[in-house]
Amino acid sequence: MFHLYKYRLKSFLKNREMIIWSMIFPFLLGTFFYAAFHSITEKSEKMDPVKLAVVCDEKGQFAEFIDSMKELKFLDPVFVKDEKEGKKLLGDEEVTGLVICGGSEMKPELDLKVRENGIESTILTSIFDTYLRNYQVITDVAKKNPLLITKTVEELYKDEEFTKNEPLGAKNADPFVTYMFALLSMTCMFSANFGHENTKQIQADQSGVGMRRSISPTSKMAAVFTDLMAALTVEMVIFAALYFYLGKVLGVVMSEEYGKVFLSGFLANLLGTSLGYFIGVILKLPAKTKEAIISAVVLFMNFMSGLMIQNIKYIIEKKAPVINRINPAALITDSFESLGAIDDPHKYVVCTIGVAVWAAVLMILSIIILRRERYDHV
Amino acid sequence: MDTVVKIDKLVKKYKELTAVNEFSLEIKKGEIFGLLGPNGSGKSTTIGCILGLLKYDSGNIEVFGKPMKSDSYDSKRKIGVIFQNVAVFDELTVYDNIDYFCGLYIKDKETRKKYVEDAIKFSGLEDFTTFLPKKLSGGLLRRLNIACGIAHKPELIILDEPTVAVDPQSRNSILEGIVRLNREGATIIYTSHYMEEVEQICTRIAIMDTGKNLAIGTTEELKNMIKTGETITVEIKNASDGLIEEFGKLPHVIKTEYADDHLKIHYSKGERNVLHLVDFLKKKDLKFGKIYSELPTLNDVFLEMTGKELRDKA
Repeated sequence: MFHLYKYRLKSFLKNREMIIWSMIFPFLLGTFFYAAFHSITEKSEKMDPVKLAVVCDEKGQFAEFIDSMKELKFLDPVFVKDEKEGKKLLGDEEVTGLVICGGSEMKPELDLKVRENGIESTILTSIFDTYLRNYQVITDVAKKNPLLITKTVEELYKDEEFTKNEPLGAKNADPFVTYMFALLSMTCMFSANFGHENTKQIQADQSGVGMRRSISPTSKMAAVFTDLMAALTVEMVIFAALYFYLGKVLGVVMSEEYGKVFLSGFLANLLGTSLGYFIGVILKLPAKTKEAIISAVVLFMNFMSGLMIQNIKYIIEKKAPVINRINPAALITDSFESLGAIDDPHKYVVCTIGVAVWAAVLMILSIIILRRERYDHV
Repeated sequence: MDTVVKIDKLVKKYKELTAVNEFSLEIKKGEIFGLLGPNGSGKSTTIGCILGLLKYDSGNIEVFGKPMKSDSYDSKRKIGVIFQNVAVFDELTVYDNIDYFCGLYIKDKETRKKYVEDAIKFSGLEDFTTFLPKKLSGGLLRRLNIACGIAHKPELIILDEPTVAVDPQSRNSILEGIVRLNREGATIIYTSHYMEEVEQICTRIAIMDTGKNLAIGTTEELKNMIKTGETITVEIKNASDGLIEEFGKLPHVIKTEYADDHLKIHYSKGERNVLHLVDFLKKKDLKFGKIYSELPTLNDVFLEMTGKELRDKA
């Protein structure tokens, strides 16, 4: 058995095309994600509250709003007596902006002055525009139909809500890290290519090597097992290398519970490989077509799990959560996320079991088909 | 003599097409048995059925006295196959490929090492053991294919058109190798559509066409099955129709053909046909040039036999 495993492993390692795509692609994509998103995240993480001079009635509604923004660490307000004092602070570069609240209680007017255009002035503009728009809407509803106020407030904040991560003890739930977990999931799912390659080399109707092996006295199960182990060895090395590259080189905060990470990685790679086996044995199509189908299926599953657009997964969670419960890529992403980002042991267990069940079902079905005694054509 | 392979009324259909039709044969130990037939005649399908790779519709196949099943490991251990297409791992070296495929049969490391070295020596690949298949020429690749198939020293070796697209030098080397394997004790099944090869090495031959076994026997037996026993060609100028008709009336003559001053006379059987013909030419006082006799080849046998089959179809 070791003899067969050794040479299968060797043939995988010397398959340059396969190794390059399996290894280089995720590394490049990880580096790309790092370059594209990490600076943004880092900037927003390190951004101090925007210093702002405020001229308004300290007991009014606008002052309450300013206080709430202060609590959320968006703003660092300084209440001043008048516009002159505010302008002085602005001129001395003590504050980034000056806001003067005027108008009436029913129709407030805000006069915003900023020191210079930039990300902080954009934040200020956005905050006060939203405030005025929402204030106006609520006031209008209160006038026309006070019973609808609660519903209106809910609607106004709905959009804001669904773009937030679920607050499950989040320790690192920023979009950048989520992309990295989706990348790990994609890498594991693309192990399907190894599974497909194994089906080519074991079925008599797929290759000459498959024919040779089919007529040998080595049982199909032994051949499947050694091939699978060889594929998983390569996949786990790639997975470990990527995990450490993301964690140690790119500095992504990853879980250091290596036992659990290894288990998740192993099951995820087994699932990916099993998917490749399944597609390889169930479809009677040319190998290149099957490879294209594998790529399409894996990318679609990963798209649905938030690889390309992070919000997709949360939209699905709101509209059709069952998809996230059965999408293998989402399960893999969630299992890594529950270890590395949101520290949710229950979710980890549920997702890991889900991944294991998928892997087992696909592999058992594949083996049943692979064990057939004779072929229609060779 | 022990029977190594026995096929009884094998039928294999691909939807509407009957690839093998009521095909029967028995191959004895120590034979080099040729399956001769054109492309699509059902040779490879028959081999697939013998190896237990293909489902078949009816009939029985026994290898080493036992039905061939997917778990007939004892029988499988004694069989080696050399496929038409080269079947090796592209990423493994010559040595690794032979070692891998030998390892499917031989578990003992020391024995396997010796067998692999023997196979390398047998196929003349000593200088190429570290080469990847893509670095080998077509002929060397064929030799690697053979080495992978015979490294475990099988008792029955099946070669499915191993010389297709092979240069003459490599072809001779392959044919010599097959004869050597046979001398060392292996029973050989050799499929080909090259008549000369089959005639050169096979001790018995089955002629296949459209899945049927048209004839089976030694080369001589097959030649005796057809009408033509001998063809004598005479170089003779301006032979008249009347004269040609007279040639046609000579004893044992089946038919005559005259073209380009050459008269071909086909004899069924008979002895000393050339002498009788020369006597006839002298008697008629005819001037003639070269005169030579040809015995029938397997090509003549095949053409005559498949010609009948084709006529039946039409």
